[in-house]
Amino acid sequence: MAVISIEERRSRELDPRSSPYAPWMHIDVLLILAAAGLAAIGVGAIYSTTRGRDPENFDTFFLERQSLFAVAGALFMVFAAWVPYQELAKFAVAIYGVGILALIVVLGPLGEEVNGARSWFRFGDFQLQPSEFHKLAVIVAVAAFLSRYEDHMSAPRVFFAVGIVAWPGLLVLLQPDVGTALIYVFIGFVLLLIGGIRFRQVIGIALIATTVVVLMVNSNMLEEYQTNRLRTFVDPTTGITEAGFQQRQAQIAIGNGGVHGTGYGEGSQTLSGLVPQQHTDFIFTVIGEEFGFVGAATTLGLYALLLLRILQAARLAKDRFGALICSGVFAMILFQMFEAVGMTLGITPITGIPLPLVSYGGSSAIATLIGLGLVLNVRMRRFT
Amino acid sequence: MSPESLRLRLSFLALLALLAFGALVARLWFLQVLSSEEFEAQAQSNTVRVLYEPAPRGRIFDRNGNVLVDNRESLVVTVDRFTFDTEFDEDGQEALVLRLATEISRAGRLTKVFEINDALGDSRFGPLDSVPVADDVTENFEIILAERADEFPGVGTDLRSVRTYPYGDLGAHILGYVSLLSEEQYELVADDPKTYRRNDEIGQTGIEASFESVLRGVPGFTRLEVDNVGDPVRVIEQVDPVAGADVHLTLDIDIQAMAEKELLAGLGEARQQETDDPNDPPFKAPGGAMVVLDPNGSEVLAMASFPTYSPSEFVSGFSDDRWAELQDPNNHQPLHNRALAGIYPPGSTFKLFTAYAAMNSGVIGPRGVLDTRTLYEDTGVYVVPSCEEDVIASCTFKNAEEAIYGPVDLIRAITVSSDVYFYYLGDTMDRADRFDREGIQRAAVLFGFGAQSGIALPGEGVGRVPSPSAAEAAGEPWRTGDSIVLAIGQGVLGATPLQLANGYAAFANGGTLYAPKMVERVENPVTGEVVQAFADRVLNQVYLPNSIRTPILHGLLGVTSELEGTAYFAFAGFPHEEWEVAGKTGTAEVVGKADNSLFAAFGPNPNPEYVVVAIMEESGFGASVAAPAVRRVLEPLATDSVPAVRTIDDLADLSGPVEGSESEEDGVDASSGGAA
Repeated sequence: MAVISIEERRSRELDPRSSPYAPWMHIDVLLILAAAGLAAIGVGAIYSTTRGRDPENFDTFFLERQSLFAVAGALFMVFAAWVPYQELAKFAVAIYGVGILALIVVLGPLGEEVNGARSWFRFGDFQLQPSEFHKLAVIVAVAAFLSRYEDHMSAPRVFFAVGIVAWPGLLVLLQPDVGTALIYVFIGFVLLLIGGIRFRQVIGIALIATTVVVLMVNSNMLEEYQTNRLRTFVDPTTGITEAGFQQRQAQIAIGNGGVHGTGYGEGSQTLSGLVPQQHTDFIFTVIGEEFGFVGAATTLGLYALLLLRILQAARLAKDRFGALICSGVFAMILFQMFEAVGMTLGITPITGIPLPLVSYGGSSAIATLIGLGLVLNVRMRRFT
Repeated sequence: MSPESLRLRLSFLALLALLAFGALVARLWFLQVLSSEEFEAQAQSNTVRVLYEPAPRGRIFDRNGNVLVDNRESLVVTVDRFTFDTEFDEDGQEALVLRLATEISRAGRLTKVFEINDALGDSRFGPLDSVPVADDVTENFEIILAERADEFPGVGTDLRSVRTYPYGDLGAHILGYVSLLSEEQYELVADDPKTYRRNDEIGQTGIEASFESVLRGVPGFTRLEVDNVGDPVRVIEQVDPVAGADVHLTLDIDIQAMAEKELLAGLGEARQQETDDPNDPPFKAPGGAMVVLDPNGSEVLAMASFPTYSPSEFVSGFSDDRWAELQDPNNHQPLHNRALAGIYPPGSTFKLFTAYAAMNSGVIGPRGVLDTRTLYEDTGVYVVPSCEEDVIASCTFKNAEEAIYGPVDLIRAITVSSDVYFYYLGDTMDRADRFDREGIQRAAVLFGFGAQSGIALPGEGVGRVPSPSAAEAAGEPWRTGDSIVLAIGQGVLGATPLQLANGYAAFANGGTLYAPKMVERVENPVTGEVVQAFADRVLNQVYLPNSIRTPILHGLLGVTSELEGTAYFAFAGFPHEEWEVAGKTGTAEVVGKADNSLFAAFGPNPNPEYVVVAIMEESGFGASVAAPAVRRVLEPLATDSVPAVRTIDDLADLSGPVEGSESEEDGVDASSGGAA
């Protein structure tokens, strides 16, 4: 912050609008810039992989839609930052309830199945993925619940908190969407950690979770393609399954980029459409191939900056509620980023998780931006 | 929970993020910086497809511009291996192959199921290649395929350029054949700038092999970037094919046809002969060769070898059984070009070179044991003076057929083919210290024996010229008897028909030994521009003054023109006045078999234009089999009446009207019958 004279400061303090404690004095510009940068990279990468091969007549459908989502998301972000976040605690239960309802309804005939998962509502040309938004509801609900207690948590409280996360997690699993369900798990874990869970409680939860996962993989609950993905990841030589093909093509695309990349619109893997789901979950392969290590590392750098700012907001937060909201958003973005980038690099199994702000998709982009709006909100109001 | 605790826990989150980023960046570094090259290569092979367009192979012409080897289009049926392997189970594959064989056969090209299965199993093709399973398919099949495409998934047709031979099997050994690259050959040409692919053809023998690099065109290719379903995305590079260059031979197809015909006829006649003694080995006449050279430059005008084969058989490939048949020694190896790879004792045809050696080294001459015109008494038997059996091998050497020629000088000794006279020369050279002991060997080498002539064809034999020094070096004994039989072209001495013809050519032209020339020039097929012209190549200049050449020539002229000449009867009625033929018969003994029949001739003298040499295995006297065959080749040359040979297409055109006229005659007959 720039150095200002005492007179200047005093005159500002007298004017409520220029008070150094006023929320708009603490808007995190760096966070906004990082988010905007990532969204711009995303729009560019999506255009590269979806515009087609006819230079006379490039397809701008996805470009326009993703730009629209980004703008809409920005508006939602402003809104999320505008209303004092403390007010949210009052509505936490209502928001959570609506979200759960949506997750139940989506499993029914009103929901739409895409790629084997019943995760969407359709409104005309737009689709809405309730599980994306409900992540935020879970964050707010758990944060509201945990912030009521200043001391360490008792076991029943931990179980209650786990329950808040577990119900929507199970509903998402029924779609089935393992990837998103895992996000819920990670968010829950981080919130409990920041909320003050004890070490032995962590071990207990870990044991239970491991048992559940092992039972799930060995039962028929998972679709065949999902177990294949996991098996392929554990042993990539298990034959040419679709998952193995996808993972190999993704790595070839990224490796093909080299240090400097093939240049925008020049990636041969991208041009040839060899990486399935490239504009959504595998968007990072476009960046890796066409902008190389330089571009990929820059993108990761923007995420690092974004996450650093969120973490700082958590640290600076006026209350536990704020800190927990920021931690939840941090967990959400970190996990998705690590998984969506990691699977293209072959270090994590393939799941259908979008890369926050970069992948094509309105629900994800808007939900992420709302989350960032909440973080801005917490930071802005740390003195009020 | 204290604020410190919160801080600590947030730091734990930061640490978690740090680890995540560390893992991602490390992996990114590995993929994009450390092993980027490997992935780039994979991306290339992933998305870049190269489509090859084969270049037409150069044609082969004779000296008069007749096309001997041409290209034609063959409709080939291909099966896409990927589709075949992925879209069918075993039963489905079997059914498809059966359908294919049935329909291709019904369309007019007989094809068996196992032939298609064999082709599909060919390991030269990759799992994504289209494998040719039948060729020379009729256009009817293309129509069937177009109408019923859904019954034949992955089946397509392709036009392939294949070799065609307008004159049938004529000159097969010279032209050679092309066939698919073997695995070993592919290794050899893998880096050739003319980019061979595994299913390409290569010249295997003859001119096709020795001029492979000229005849082969440079294939064109289109480098395409394709998408995940194999559809082209963009053309990266396109290069048109460049046709191979045309090769113009020195060969005269009319003379070649005559040589092949007369060689075959001669062998047939040989087989008709009765043996004098029923215990003598029969005249099997299994093979032979004939060479016609222009002595002024040793241009090869014709080169026949029997038995022969059909190069067109190789166009569509053939069964292993047929291949084994061609290789079987019992079938006398038809692929073997006897004219340049067969090694035979030249017999009495070698006497020319012994005579030259004797005169050149002084054995015959003013200070020698005999002068040119000195008469030597041929009693039918040569008894080696002061003979020690074990040193000389044998003390008496007889004339063939126990003939007695009485007094002979050099000229008459050649004309009547007196072995005794030449035994004496051989014995003298071997034992008289004042003469060169290896004079005959040196003369033989001067005339090109014992070394490859350097003709532009593969598989040439070296031959054998035995000598005392070589025997000593090999630790074997050399006895005077070896020199004595060498003098009449027997014993270990071995020469290819081409070597023999070339030696005669050097004598005929006055002493210049040329490397036999098979190829005149190489031409650009489009512009007709001469890419490469081959000049005469002199191997050796033999010292051949008239004092030596004239008496020998007179002896050789007598062979065909004088009553006691060995080939007089073979040349009875030949126009000797206008076209003097010098020649020499040879009857070479082969242990356990009937004699090889040889004749070497050149004319017209004094300025010869043709040298003809014929060798017929197990055929008897040179005078009775080889000489008449050579005469039948020489006479049309002498009288300028070599019949023009017709191409297969011409013959087919001719047969049409003939049939028509026959039916007309039938009509006449019928009407005349009615009148009667």
